[in-house]
Amino acid sequence: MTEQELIAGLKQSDEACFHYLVTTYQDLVYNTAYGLLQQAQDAEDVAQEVFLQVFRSIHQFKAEAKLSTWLYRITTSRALDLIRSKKSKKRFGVIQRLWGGDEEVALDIPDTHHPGVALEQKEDAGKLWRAIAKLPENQRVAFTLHKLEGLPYQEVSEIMGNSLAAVESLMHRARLNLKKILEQDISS
Amino acid sequence: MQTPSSERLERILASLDKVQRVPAPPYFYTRLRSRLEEASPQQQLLWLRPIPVVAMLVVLLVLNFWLINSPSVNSVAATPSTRMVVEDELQVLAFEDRAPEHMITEYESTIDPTQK
Repeated sequence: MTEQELIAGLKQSDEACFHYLVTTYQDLVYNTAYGLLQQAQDAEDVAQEVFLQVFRSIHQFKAEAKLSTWLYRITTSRALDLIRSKKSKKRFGVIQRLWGGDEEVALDIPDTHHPGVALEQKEDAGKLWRAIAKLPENQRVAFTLHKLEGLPYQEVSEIMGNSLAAVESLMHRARLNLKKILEQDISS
Repeated sequence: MQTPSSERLERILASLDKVQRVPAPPYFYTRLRSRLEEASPQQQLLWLRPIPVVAMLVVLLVLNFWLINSPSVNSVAATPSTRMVVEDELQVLAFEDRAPEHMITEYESTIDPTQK
């Protein structure tokens, strides 16, 4: 099935096309969400929301970009929304506790390792994994798409809506920041 | 020349270079399908659907138009209570010689002769 046929089928709410879309792209969406959120349950929730959004808004898809680019965009945006909402909930919980509220701040424990890492790399990859979570949003997205999804800078720039030079700069700054974070981690 | 710590840093930074893609969990489509059914339009509240909302708006607009243009609603018929109040006011003003003549004739013309 070509991408045009798939999109045409989705626009007619064809269930077979929706099944084909999900089975073809579920790993791409899930892995991207998992890389950004670092939690299996959150990643599955976001991946489901991405496909629900595609199902509802396929009529808005203008086929100017590839379907995969559109899916990456929705996934990164949904994952970042969840990260922001969790951060604000955490802040609100801390304030509530300061004011004497009884509510416990929900512990947000990320997975310690990326499941796709080889056994001999587990320790190092675990350190890098935790360091990525401390990066600013844009650097985190660029690094995740390039390193975990293996996308070239050109495609990362199309997904993020930035120029190629901007993505190169983001990746450079991400590496510098990761080095700083890892140095502190190693020395402590 | 790289120091041992910078070598270690580079090794850590390269540790995700050959990472495998994490596959979606099993039965992902089944769970997604049931979530889609839960959120299907049949489950949405009736009054939130576009057609009932538009129909309600049309009814409201027609009702509004009718109320504005209805002659019976537009004419200000003096009810007994308002008539009495205006009469009292005019009598007081007439007594004090402050009521203009045209106001008294204008008011009298609005009163139904049967109610006088």
